[in-house]
Amino acid sequence: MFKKYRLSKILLNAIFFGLSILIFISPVSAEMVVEITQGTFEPTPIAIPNFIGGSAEANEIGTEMSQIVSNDLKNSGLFRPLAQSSFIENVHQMGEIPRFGDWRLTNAQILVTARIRKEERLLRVEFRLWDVFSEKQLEGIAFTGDLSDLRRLAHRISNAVYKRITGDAGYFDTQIAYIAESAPNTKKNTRRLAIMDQDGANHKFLSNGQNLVLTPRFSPIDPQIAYMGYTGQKKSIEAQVYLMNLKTNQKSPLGKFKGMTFAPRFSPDGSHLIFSQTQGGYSSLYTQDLKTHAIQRLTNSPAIDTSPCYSPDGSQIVFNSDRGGKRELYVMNRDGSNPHRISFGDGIYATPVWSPRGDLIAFTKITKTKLCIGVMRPDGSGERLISQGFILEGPTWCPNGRLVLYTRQTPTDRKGRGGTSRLYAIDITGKYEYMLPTPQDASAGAWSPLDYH
Amino acid sequence: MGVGFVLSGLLHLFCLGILIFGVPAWKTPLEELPKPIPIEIINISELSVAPSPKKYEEEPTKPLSPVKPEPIPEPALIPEPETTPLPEPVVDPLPVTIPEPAPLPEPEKKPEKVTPEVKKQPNLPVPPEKPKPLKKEEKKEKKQVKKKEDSFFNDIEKALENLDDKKKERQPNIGDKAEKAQANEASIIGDELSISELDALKRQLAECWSPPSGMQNAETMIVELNVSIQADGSVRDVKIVDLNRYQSDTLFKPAADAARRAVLNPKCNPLKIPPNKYESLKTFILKFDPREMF
Repeated sequence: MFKKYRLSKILLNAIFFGLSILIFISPVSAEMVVEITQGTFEPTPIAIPNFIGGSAEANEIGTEMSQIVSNDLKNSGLFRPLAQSSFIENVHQMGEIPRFGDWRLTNAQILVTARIRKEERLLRVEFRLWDVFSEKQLEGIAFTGDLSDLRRLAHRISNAVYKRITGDAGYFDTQIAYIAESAPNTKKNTRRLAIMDQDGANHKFLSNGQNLVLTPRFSPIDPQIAYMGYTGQKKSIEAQVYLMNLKTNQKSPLGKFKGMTFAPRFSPDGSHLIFSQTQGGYSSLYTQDLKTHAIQRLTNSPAIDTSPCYSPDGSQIVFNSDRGGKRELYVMNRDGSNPHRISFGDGIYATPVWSPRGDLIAFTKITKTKLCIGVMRPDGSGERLISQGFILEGPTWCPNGRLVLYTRQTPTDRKGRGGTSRLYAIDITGKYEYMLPTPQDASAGAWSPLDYH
Repeated sequence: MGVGFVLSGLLHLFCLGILIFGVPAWKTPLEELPKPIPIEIINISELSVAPSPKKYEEEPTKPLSPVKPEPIPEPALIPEPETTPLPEPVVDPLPVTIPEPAPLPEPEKKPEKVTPEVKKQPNLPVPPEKPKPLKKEEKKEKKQVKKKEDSFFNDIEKALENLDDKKKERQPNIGDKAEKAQANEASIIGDELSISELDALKRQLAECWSPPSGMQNAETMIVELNVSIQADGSVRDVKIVDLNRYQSDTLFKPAADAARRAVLNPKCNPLKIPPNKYESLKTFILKFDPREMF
């Protein structure tokens, strides 16, 4: 009896021991985990062979469209379109499914193919996006439009590629308004309001250069821009905020104000315009309801409050003020309550702009030696300078919140005269920057909302 | 008797003197210097998320009332004389009508033509994903976080030991973070891959992995891939572990695709795994974590 009990006890112990060992061993033998924490930020190699059609004419259209897509993606800095000469598979003999082995040899990771059907003026583009390595179709969309919308159709393909590969909305079907300058920093300089597609196509002047124009801003809902314009003779000069309808080209002043009004910007819902108005050596922030024309004063301090910009949800406003001694960035509620400073670094801060994503505020920073474009979080933390130079100013956001557009001036002499003034777009990571193809010198760019035409 | 007594007395006195004053010191003893504590001066931001000291220099000042001679609105707002003398702001002579393009119809989603599986390799059965080990991984992660809290002191101790031991040479390329990570992983994988073998694999994949940068919350896009390899070390199959998130999260999708492309990239195939370890590593999990890159 006793022996039996002892034996069973030994057995039980052995079982427990075995189980505990199993528990300890199982995670190790289950599956090895290798953690990769470092990578390389590189533009994705992408193959964009000419889009093909059933006729010579359709092929020609296809070639043009594929070049527009290639140019869009290259300018984004996140893609590296490969040279057509390196392609092995002939696109005209390509079946439904590409020969992925051939495309792997070209070092392409992503492949864009499209077939075009043209019936009179109607274009139908069947576009497919392929992952060359996993041999999978990532996207397949058919776009249809009028022949005159050829560029927009191509931009939509770029948008679809960009969205699927980067996760962010594509911004290629957008426009940019800016001030065209004939001879920056010289007495002969004239400034004209101009507008173009984001890739420089369809360029148009909106004013004749007789009057000074500054700071154009797009309405988020209507084809309308607000800007600051000067009128009158030398002594009776007036500077005011104007609204221009982009369809009719009609312009009208915002209203009758005693002092100068400037730095306009629309509210995210397009219902209000926020701006600065001077009074007795100071300037304060006001909003105007664009329907009722009711005006509300938001700040009232003996200081210069300017460059207001709403947060994308419209609940807060970031602005620039020297109320604390030097120019710093402040954030307040949309009714003007609870203003608090968010910039605490060295130097002077100016022209804050809230990202459409809401996560960052871009600004100009002026130190003793240089001007910089930087970004910080809305609470002022995480300040990061992304570009610097002789004169950098006027940051504005790409509507997807990925790029910051700004003006870069490079003088020809040491006193800062002459030289060039151009628009640049820089990725918020600071890793990629490109110059916008304006036909002449440019400043004060503004990016339209997405799908804005 | 008297001489002996005196001698004895003198010797006793001598002994007593030694007891009181100690043994005479012929040489000045070497002072034992305390061991130097190595202190490296590095930027705060490299080690911690503490705010930079600049922040404390300027407390938000209460609004004063500075008297300004003139308002300085936005840069370059002051009218330039040469651009002003024009009489009237009439309608611009340029043709500025912006023709509105006909609205594009909503893009029709084309029924995706499923590509027939063009796989050169026979489809070998992939072991089903077991939820159990994953849970344990999570627990491990938590443990690792705890470990990291203590690891600061451990690191100092380690550094001291390394300095003492002159035989150990410092590797300039491997930072503290890497060492920590390696130590952690060593505990995960046991003796399946040595640290140097693991390092080679990591470096190889780092060259092929280009995670999407700049997207919102890019640092949270941690992708786990279930990788199975062939006998020659090249990747046979890759499966995204969190398929639910892949289907529902539009930001995770591109991140997961990018990780998958890294593993399938011909530049990274075959994987740098010693041939004698293929057997034990037929399938394993590759975890792409971009947090350190941002």
